[in-house]
Amino acid sequence: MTLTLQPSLSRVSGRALWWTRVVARRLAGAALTIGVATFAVYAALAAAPGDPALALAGRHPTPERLAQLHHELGLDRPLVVRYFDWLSGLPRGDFGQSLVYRNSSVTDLLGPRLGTTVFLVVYSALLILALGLFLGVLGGAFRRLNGPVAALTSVAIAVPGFVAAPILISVFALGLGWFPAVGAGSGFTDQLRHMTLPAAALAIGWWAWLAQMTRTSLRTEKAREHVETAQGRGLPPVTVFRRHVMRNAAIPISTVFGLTVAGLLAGAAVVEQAFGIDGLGSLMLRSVSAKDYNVVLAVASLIIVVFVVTTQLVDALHTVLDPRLRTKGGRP
Amino acid sequence: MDTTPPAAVAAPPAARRRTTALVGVVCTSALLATACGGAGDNAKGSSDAAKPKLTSQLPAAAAKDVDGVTIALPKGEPGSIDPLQAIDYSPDLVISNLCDPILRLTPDFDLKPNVATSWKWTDQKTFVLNIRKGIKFWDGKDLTADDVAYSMGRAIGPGSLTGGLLQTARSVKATGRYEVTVTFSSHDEQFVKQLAAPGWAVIEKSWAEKAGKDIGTAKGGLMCSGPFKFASWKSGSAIELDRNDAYWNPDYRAHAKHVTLKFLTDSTALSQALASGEVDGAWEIPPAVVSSLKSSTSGSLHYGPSFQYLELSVARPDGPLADKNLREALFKAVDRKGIADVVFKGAATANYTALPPSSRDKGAEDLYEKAARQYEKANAYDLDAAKKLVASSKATGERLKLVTMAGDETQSQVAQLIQQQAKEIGLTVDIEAMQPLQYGDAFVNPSARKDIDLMIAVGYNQTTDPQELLGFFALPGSPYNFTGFDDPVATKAYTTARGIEDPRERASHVLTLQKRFESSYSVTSLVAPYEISYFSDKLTGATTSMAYMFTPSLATLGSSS
Repeated sequence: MTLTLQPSLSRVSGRALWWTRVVARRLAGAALTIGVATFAVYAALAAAPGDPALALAGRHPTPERLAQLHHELGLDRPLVVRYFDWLSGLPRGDFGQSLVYRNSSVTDLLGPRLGTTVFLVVYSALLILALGLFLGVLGGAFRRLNGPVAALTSVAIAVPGFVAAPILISVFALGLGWFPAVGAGSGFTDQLRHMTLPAAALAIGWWAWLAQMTRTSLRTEKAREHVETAQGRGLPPVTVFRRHVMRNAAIPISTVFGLTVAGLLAGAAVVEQAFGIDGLGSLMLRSVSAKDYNVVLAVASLIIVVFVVTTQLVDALHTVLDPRLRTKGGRP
Repeated sequence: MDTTPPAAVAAPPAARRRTTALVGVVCTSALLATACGGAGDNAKGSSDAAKPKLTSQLPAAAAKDVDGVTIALPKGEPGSIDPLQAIDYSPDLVISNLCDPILRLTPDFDLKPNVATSWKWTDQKTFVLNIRKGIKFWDGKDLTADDVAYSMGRAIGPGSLTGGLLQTARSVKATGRYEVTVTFSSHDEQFVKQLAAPGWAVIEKSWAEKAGKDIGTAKGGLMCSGPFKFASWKSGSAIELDRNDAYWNPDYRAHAKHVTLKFLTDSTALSQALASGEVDGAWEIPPAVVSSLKSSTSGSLHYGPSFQYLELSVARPDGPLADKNLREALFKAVDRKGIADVVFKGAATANYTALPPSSRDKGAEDLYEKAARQYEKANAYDLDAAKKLVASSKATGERLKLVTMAGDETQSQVAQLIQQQAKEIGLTVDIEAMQPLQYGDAFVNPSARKDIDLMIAVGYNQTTDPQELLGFFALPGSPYNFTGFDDPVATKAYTTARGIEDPRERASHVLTLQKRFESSYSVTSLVAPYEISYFSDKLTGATTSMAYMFTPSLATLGSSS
């Protein structure tokens, strides 16, 4: 920035500034997204019919008892005030208290479930990556496999998790007895065994989508002029495929995969419910129907954060993959 | 969720109920008569054959020690296991196995000593309990009158969920190391019956004062004296219990060293867990998964007596149903036996009055049963009579809105049958399934009911006392008096009955109240469902009646081999 600095140093500091700006802009954008989205969730929940105090007021609640509970729980204050109250706790890592689980902090509820859901999502993402890429590359690289892979993926893409779950359970858990039918398990190996069927059920539509995307991108790239040129120059096919086809196809593939990971978190709810897994998804379902504001908000913000972070990561990955995106950024 | 309406329950228990005793109970408890075979006018033949055989307990004497047992809690994870939150299936079951209630109900619905060895009214407004010596909390401290007075004081205090039924109790004091005295503003014969419910479980005072807001939470747990000790509560997943080897009552010394109570709310996941043997047993099996579990080879389904009822309430004083003839027509147009046979697949009995069979006062069952027979006749399924009543009303094609709780398959099927039958007498019924909280709101909030004509609800009795339900339905201003029923004769009968200890003398007043209320056609109980449970064949000793909620039902469970 300053003229007195050595040229190299000035370049470094210029670059740092550029990155700071980019990061700051992105962080601000992310914060705004999270703010708007959580407020929308809060307001939607408040607008839904039903009184959350009912679940706490006992079997035969009197209007006085309900009014007293509203006051205790702060439900008698304006929506915006309650929302900002919640927001102000966040910097301290305080997500508030659950309404349903009396006197339990949301952090205590989220803690044990977060690990379970992360395990499920990561396991599922790995399955998607392995199976999706493998089939996609097969279909994209070998002309003869293109048809079968296309057929297989279009069937799999149409199978929702809630349909796959009972089929997987009846075949592999109840029928063959290879895997447990319910629960999350404890300890790594046990968890792996418990989570295989849920991860497969969660992955099914997504791996097919990834495979489809990989196959078509590879085929598009293969047909491009520079690839034909490279082939004409007599470069070995594997080198051409790796350097020219795969590298360019990686951008759309990574985009799809990024969206997939974020989507898995939201989609976990159905699968967790079906397999009786105590994850964030099933907590979310229960909390929404009980209007347990703070829990819903916490889980929703987590999902939103993951969405935002994944998109940013995918963006960053693109700049690595495609040098043009870096230079366009206006480096000093 | 506790949005279930009027109802609450707590009845009896039954741990060591022999099969013969159980048949006796079933037969005396009224409309269940058909299950005993050949019992009078209900025997219409064919469908009786399909009635399941009721059992209250699997052979408990055969139960042997076992390392671990995994059970699914009836309705998923409890919000809290503080006895003050003992208002629903899951918390009740957990608390009943961890803590000692003050009294215990027997299979015959008698009150037996437990923490209190004896009790009596010393005058109309003073109740004295003698506390058992030698009971120890899990931490080894003695259970004394201080702990009992503290626990009871919480239960009648402000904000208590159990105390709603006890408006006349004023104070509880330890009047000796092993004596507790309760004072009242006016006599209340129901008080004693309440003391056997898990809401009156005794917790350790010094521990509770330290635990504060953590009492009954996943973090804080409990400090009680029951046959199991609280080990851990993994939020979202399971509550773990360890056997209390120092338990004072040999009748309930637990066979299982360790019990895992899992939270499974999805009915398919539950049936898969049971069929695959990952979970050893569960109560409150939804009728929807009964057929899939029937074919399972790992365990067996059982049917037992229950205190539940499914009722139909008129939801507002105005609207088309303000016309009493129309209400009466509707009550006659519903085929209650059909609901029991079709929706519950025989696992329920038809009922014809607002009082379910399980609410009958011990010692006066015959009087209540005689009355029930009259209502059975008066409200019998009779389309012709119903059509005539509709014709004599001013009804001209109004639509009636019937509300059920969303996600409850049973309620939805019952609603559809009612809709169909109402159509036959010329009434159009629209069904709306409401989300649990919204549905619960409709029970407490007149404004949330303003366009609702009818509601279906499932409830259960907290005491074997008919006044409990009638108190909710039939007094002016009471919570579930949706039609605004206000009859001075009925109100006086209620107040008088509550002050009378002799059950037969009390019954004469209660029956007056019942008669006045029934003639208003405001609420009717359609069926009394049985308890449906499933247990692995590797286990025995399970309580298979609804008493499982109110007794140490996990203590009697043991290995069958």
